[in-house]
Amino acid sequence: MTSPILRARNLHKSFGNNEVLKGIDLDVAPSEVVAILGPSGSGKSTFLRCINRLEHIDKGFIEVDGEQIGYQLKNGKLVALPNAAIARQRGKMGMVFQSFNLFPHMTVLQNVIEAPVGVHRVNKAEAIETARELIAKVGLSEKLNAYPGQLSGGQQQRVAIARALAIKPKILLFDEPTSALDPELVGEVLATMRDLASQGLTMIVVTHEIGFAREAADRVVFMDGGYVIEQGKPEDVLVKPQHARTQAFLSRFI
Amino acid sequence: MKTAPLPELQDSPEDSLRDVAGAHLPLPKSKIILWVIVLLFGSDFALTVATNKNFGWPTVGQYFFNETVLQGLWVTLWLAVVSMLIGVVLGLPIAIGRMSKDPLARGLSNAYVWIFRGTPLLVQLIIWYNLSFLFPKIALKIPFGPSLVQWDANALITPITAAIIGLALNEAAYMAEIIRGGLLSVPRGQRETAEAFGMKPMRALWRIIIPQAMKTIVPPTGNQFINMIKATSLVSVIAMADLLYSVQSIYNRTFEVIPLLMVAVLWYLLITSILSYAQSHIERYYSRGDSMHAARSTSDDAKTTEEDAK
Repeated sequence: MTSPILRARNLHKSFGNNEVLKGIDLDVAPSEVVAILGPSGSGKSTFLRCINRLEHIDKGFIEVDGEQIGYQLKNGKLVALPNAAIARQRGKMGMVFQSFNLFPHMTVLQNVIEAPVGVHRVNKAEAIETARELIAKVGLSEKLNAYPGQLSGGQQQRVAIARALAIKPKILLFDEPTSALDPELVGEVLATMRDLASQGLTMIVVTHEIGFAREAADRVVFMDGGYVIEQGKPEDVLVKPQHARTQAFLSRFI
Repeated sequence: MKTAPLPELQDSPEDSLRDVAGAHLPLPKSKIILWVIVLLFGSDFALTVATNKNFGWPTVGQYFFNETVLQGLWVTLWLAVVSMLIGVVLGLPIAIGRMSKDPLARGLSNAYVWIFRGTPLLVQLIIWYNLSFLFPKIALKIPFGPSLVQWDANALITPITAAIIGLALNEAAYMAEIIRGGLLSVPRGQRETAEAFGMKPMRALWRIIIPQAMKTIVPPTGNQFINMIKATSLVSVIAMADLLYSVQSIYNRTFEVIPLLMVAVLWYLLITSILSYAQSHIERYYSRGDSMHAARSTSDDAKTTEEDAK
């Protein structure tokens, strides 16, 4: 088996006295699409945010592409990395947020080229060309010079996906990408994500869309109360869940 | 599936009159009365002012482009611009310091704002001007050790340096608060997104946070600049030849106090009017990403018609 692109071991995270993650272990293989399901408050979004260090873990470690996130082993001692090094590590991960978080003062094109040009030092003409292709891929070529405020929620989220792809990430992180959308706009975003899943991108998707998990994910991870309760192939976990809490959760979707 | 027949529309004979497209507006009687009253009182007052010999309008005209006055005007303008620029440049790090998690940065910034915002500008100007009483020598030195460079305070502090230092340091305290308010107005998710995409904090600040904060920062900053134009008149107490000082120097000679003050007032009004106009343009620029409601609603409409057609 190829070595995993993400390794998380014994992750613990508390907000004040509230322990949200109580020991998460997870490996993700390159090109794997992992859907994380679970009730709200189960810690699944927090876990995702810990991966690119938007939240700092209290215990355990995370490794992406062979590098520990936020820390470095020096002569057998673990030392915290400076901001610049953490920024470089984050540059390997693309993130898509629940509330899109496009930069409202920039056009669609500017949003997509901002990180490649400003962080990854890609030549601007080259970045624009890549951006045009990506924007075309999410079906928004005619909105290149529109501002996010002029787009529907679904269109904004597709731009956000193009923006995340533009940095050529090793892993794509999706934090409930369709939860803030009107029901009739969910489909277009899921279609874009399904497309990406079939192209061999490594994706970790926190979602409530059971349909997406069933069709596009290689593995479903079910979280509850800060633990991974159950995981496996979608057809196993979603069709014949072993754990009572998974059963209870899924029963609401049938 | 069988569709039920639609109920027939019930018309009434008055219907042709009810089309709102042909509606008339009632005569706004109370509004017209108010207009007439205000215009009557206003024109009477304007006429009284214009014909009042005590204002000395011919003298105002005579001195409006007087060389001393124009020189004073020039001093007022560059003093305001320079002090404002320094104020903004100093205000930004102080604003960031006040929002910092680091207790040293926060403590220093808070102390700065506390002192400079908490004491009168006039007093600050006088203290800066008379700094040589407090510190005859000003030196760059190693703490508790020897000094490296040393200046004579009397030579260093002229009316100009005292005016710039006094106005700029005071302004920085106010600008820090305005900038802090602007930075706080940008949703937290924007900063997170910038960081998630690998931007370092400084880059996130310049490219993502500040451009969005400008929308909130510009209006009160315009206000501060207009205040600054007028606050420069305080430097006349430290013998700096600004606009007010210039007209004072003339009326001390000619005793035409009111006409010359009118010259200054009209110039101040003219400058601040131009600034207000410029401000409205800058505001429009920084709200470019969100004044799109018209465009948005048309595209939404287009979408609905498309869907209806299907």
